[in-house]
Amino acid sequence: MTFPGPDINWVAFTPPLVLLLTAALAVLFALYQESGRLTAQLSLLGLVVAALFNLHLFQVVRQTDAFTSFGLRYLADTPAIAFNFVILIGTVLAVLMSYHYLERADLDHPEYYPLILLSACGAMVMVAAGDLITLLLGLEIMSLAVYVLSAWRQGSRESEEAGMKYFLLGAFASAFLVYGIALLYGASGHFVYAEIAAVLRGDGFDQLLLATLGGMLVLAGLAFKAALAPFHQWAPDAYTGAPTPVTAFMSVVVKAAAIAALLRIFSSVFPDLSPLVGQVFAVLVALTLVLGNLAALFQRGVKRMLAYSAVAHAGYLGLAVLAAGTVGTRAAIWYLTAYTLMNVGAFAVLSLIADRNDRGDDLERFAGLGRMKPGLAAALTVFLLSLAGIPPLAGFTGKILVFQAALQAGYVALAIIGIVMSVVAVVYYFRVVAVMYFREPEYELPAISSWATSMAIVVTVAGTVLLGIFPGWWYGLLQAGRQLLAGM
Amino acid sequence: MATFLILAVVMIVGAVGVITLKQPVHAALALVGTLLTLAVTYVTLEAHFLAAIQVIVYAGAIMVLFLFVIMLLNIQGETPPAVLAWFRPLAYIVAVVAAAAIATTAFMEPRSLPDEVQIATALQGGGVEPIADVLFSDFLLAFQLVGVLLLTGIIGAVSLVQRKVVAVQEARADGATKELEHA
Repeated sequence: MTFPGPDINWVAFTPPLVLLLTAALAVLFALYQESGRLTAQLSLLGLVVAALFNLHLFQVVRQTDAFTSFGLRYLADTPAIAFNFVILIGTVLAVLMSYHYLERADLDHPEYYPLILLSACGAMVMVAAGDLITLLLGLEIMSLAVYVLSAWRQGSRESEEAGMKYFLLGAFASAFLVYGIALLYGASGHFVYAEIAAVLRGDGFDQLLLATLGGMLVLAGLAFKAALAPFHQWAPDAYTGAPTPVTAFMSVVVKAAAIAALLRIFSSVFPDLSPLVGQVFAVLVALTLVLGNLAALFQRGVKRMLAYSAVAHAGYLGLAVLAAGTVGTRAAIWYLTAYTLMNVGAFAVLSLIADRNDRGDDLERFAGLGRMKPGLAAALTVFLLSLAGIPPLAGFTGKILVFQAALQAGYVALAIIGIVMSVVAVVYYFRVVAVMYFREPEYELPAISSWATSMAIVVTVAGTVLLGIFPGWWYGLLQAGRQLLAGM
Repeated sequence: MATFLILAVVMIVGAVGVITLKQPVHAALALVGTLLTLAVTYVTLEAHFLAAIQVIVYAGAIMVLFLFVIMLLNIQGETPPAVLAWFRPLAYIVAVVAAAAIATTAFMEPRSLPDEVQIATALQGGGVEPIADVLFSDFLLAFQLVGVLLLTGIIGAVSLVQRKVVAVQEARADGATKELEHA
């Protein structure tokens, strides 16, 4: 019996496949290695190779056409490749941050790096997913690894609470997602976005209510991963309790993958559902912007403040998602690139200031940092100013693009809320900067030197500044090639 | 239709039992009831292979694991202290609203069933072959991804459990110093 195989386009798969293979190799390495250094180096190598393959894929897509594989179940289009770059950058930076951190914190177990790679692999699958089942599986691969990583510091209540809370609430959110997928399938009879959209648009479709309910549940499941209010409750605890490099990874890669999935669904399936879905999402975005920024105002710990700021930034990204299908996609990717650099950078500085158990991130500890460690203080200032959206830096351009996209899509009120809330955000970012430069030192800081973390900080500072000064370069690349995001 | 209704009622009663019964063993047994009824439903739909898998994997292997965990941890049906008591009514309200929304959807847009011949042909041959056909063509990517998911789960579980002996002692020492700092 001959078996009609599916059309597999291997080139489209190379970046996640390289990560998967590296992870498998790294696990074998881990069998014979006590220390994680070698696995870390291997992981970095794998990430660089994946980035090269991604670059190759980008060239191919630019010249010819977008790649699909397995029918329309896996889409390697320009947005997916750009998201892959963001994920790879975030992962490389997280690995660099972890390199010395894990030894210092007595957490150096070689399985750490394979889990990070597998999580990134899942994120890439999620980004390129063209159907709901692939989306769900990518999401689960990504999340499962992150659940374990956030509980990495065993014996510490915060870390174990972070892992447990994230796992239980994450499982709950997955249940929503699965239920939503089931209802969408029940209404349309398809899993692939393009086919669902075709059925929804077709004549004689009479299951709009069922499909809309399914869409709402899918939205809830993905909003949880992106930490949009009111599904953000897990984020501050998980971000604070997890080891700092894991927090950086979570706040960037997980968010990028969730936003990518939302963009894809919002530009294919959701426009044909009842407009209620878009309105509900708009309310979520407004809530996120207000709650995230206001809660960040009242935090004493800087890590927790950054956690709430990450929630707030999910709101800005949500603004871009609302404009999906038009300029929103590019704005979201651009914003995520900037956000990845500045947010990971801020966490990297934090990991050099807090003690080996991630304690001591109170505001007082930053007093006089400008005099004691001028380099670190300057870097943190750049990140915080960029996160606040101060002009020459990347965060500013990102905010402009996002607000522009929201205005073009007609969400004027939301854009105004976003602008007002970014003014509020300036207060809590500047508070840290003020404490660093205008207060006398109160604490003896631990003498930590790590070339790997320093390298991550240098890269992120350079990226934040350069991206801010030359915004057109990356934006131009995003425009290249065919935008297949809708999966049509 | 009558068979389905009876099965559905049993399934729902079992599902409600899982979340309301206080003793973990009772809840686990209620879950067995639900899973077995689901298997019977598969049989009525001619999906014999699926029914067998349902019994072997879910009602068999996974339930045994549940019972092992309950037995090893010696969990009694203790009521946890009421934290966030104000949350309870809110949770009930949300649950009722969600259930009402789903019920409305189900009854507002009833879909008429296709005629009997069509159903009979669609249900034929619920054996291994049709499942394998879609699993290795349409869902090949998903099939492979499940493998990656399982790999991730195994690595994660091993990495958390394997180091317990060393790590906990160190962590306790840490915890002691932390306590001192706080005092």
